[in-house]
Amino acid sequence: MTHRFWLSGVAVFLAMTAAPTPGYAQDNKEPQALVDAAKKEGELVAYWHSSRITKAGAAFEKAYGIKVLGTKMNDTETTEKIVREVESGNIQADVIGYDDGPRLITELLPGNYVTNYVPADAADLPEISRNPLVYLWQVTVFGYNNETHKECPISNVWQLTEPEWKGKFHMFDPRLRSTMIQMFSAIEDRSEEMAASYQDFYGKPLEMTEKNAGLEFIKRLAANQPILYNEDLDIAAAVGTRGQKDPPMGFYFLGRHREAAAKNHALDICNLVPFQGFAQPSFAQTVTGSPHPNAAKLFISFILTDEGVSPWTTDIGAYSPLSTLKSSPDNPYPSLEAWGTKMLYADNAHVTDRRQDLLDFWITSSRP
Amino acid sequence: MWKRGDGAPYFTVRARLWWAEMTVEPGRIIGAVLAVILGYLVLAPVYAVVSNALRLTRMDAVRARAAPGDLTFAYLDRVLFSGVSRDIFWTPLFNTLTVAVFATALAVVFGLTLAALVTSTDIAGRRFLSFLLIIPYMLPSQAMATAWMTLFKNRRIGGAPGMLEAMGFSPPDWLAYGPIPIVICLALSYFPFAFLLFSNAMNKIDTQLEEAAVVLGASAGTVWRRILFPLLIPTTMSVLLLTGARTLGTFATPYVLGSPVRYTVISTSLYSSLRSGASGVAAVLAIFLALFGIILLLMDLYMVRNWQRFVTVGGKGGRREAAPLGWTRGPATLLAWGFFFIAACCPLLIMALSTFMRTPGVFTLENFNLDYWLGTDKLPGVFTSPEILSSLFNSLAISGSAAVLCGTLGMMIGYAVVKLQGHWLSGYLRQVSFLPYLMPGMAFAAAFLSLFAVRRGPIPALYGSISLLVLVMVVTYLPYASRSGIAAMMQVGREPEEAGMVLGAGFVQRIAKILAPLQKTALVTAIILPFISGMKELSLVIMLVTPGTELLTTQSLRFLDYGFTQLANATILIIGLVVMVLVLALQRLTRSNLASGLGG
Repeated sequence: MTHRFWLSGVAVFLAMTAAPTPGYAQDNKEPQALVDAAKKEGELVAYWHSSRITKAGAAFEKAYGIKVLGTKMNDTETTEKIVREVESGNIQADVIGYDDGPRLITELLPGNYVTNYVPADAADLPEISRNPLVYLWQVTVFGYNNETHKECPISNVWQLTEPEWKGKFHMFDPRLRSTMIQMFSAIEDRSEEMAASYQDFYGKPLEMTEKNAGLEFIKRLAANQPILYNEDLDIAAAVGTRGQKDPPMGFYFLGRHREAAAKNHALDICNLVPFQGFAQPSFAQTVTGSPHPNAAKLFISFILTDEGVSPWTTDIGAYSPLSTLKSSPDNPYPSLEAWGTKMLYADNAHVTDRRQDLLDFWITSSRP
Repeated sequence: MWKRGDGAPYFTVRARLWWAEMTVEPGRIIGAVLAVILGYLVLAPVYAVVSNALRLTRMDAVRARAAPGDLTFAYLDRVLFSGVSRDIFWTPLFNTLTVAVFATALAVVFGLTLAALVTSTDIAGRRFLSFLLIIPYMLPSQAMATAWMTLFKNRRIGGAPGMLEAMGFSPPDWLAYGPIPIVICLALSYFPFAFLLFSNAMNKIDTQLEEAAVVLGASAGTVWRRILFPLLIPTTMSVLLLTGARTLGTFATPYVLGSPVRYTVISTSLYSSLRSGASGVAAVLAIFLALFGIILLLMDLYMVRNWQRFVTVGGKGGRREAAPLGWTRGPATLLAWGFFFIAACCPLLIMALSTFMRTPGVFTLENFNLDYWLGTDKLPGVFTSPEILSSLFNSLAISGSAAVLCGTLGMMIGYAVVKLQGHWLSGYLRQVSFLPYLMPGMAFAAAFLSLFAVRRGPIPALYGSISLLVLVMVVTYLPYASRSGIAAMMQVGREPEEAGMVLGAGFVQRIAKILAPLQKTALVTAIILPFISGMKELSLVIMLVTPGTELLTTQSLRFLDYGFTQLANATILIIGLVVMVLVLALQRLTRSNLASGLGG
């Protein structure tokens, strides 16, 4: 019964490790012609899903003398702007960083608003990160307050649907963050395992009112009225603030743990079955017909090196798709592959098919 | 009909006559030119919003296996009749109307009470209050909501305790989140509209009417019931329109206070739809919001027409004497100052306090510091952050130039409306220039982006430059400026200009010598209101800023994104302070009065 899941998990795992291991280009292995052309363009405009584009931009400027104007923008803003810029020919941005894979493959790529660029020398980039190009994987986790609780108060994700956690689980709002819909689709993809895990934990088969165990889980989670957020900074604060008698559980990017010490938050990761979190890919794409095309390509090569991706990967919770690059020693696992099947992966095509239905399903299931 | 042959001289004579008429009296040309400009700047974005509601987006086209841009009723259907229409439209609609009705009613009550106290009683410090009570309007709308959260938040959303909770009192959910706090916060943010308009109207009411009534033996209650209230009805309609339309489309407050208990209104549902990529659904929601605004506008038109005869009764009367309140003076003074404290000081203080505290909500001495202002080596401070300075400059330059343009345009519209009274152009100018007030900013911004990203006719591609932001602000705040311009020009009427004309003054001379001196203060208020709104604007500009054109408000959002809540609060504080100081200075310099700007 669970075979199929295991096979698919292993397949993902293999796809990610199958690539040859020899180290990826350290730096400046790009063809000199590209570097020269990029330098001639002299400037680069980036719309990025993450505010750390500023740091990466500064490093890029230091390495190549090309100034980067980088702005943090959510995927909706980026899409609105890119579509209109390209349609009008008044293009400002050269390169974008993007989280919403399904939208990328149904809207921006087929419409030729952006172009997928895989650097020629990135031979060991695993298949799963190639089309569209992933420059960063970030993991989301279930977290708990480790000041109040010695260890995670739950061990199975199904427990979040119990009355004990009603209104006490904090997560992203699926209407605002595509990460949740991508994750729902991934949960649906692993339905059989969800059902098996229920039976293991409760010792009785799952009573289903929906098509599959994934949907059943989503429905019960929604009915349990989690508190929804746009930003996970707030989730981490809600969970991790010290001195709480009865702190909630939260779902957020593991990266939040990097500020835990500075903000005096008590946060730790839950080791749950059948999954511990969701691996969120972040894509880098060049804007079609942009004013600085070579600088854009060079920048994409750059963020596939230790130097370029370090603004993200020096902190906990983020990995380069190239497993040979460094990651933070604070991570529970040194590379994404090492998480194995503890992470959920979304299939962009599945999400595209299901996103509207899943969102509607969530909305109607979460009625008070 | 003219005969063949003498057509040419006849035509020349007609043309010359027309030319002479137009140079002496260019009101009609101005009106026509304005009509074209407004038609493009206002109606084109409105059209774009409507067409978004009826055309397939690219993403949905892929799913529906159709071409993007195809006509579709799917979005309308989804909003009105689908399985989720209850969640994305009907419940939010009910909530929106509930919130709007109660918040508007409360704002009217607050505004009327305070206006009565300040204009016609002897409460202490009334001159100061007449300025101080407008301050809540100058604060960005999220200030009030954030302050409420800091005070009332409870265990439902976990994290650091709210202030009340820290003191041992745990506020229930209904007091911390949802409709009640939203209504209260909105009323406290928008009552200055009502206060301004009512005090202006009360100052204008001829006191002879009341005196006559008192002489005839009427009690104070009768005077209010039979004379003052009926006279204030047109003003009340104005207040209802301005406040009602604002509360319908407001976003930040219901977003902050509503989401912890999933209390959605149409504007937050619109935001969710935009964020989840459903721009067609968002457009439909925007249209419904605008429709409610238009219903309000029609009601206002109808009422004003029917009550007009009351307003014209008043002549030049004496100025109202402050009525001595006797023993109620103390409580009344306390009430008015209490209002100022709750609506203006509280949010400002709470925001200010947060910028001095390392961890929010912990009131120990070592938790207080100046790091967020002076900066540390790891963290930029307000005084050391280059972004704050450059965005302050952008905000001032962009809202400033937009406000000046807007004010001038508003006065021109006022001029044309008065000159063309009776002509259909007059009504058209009046209504179209008010239309942007009813459109939700978020939907409008997206429409502007598609309209002006590309060169259209004589207008070059403006996107990416500061001029687009200026233009968008001019259009969006035109309702304030045109209302103010129309009201001011109405008061002056045509007579002074006609007198000048009789004496042989040309158009330019009439404007320079007669109208400009008369309308100086009106122009200033027509500039101040757009300026205040421009400094506070967020939802409209967030889509349109490009790297290098960040404004204070968008910068504050970036700080929030980076997790620097304190810097974000400090930025909001700066907006409030800068606006306050500038408005005070402008009012002092020109002895103008904001209320006349709203055209009550």
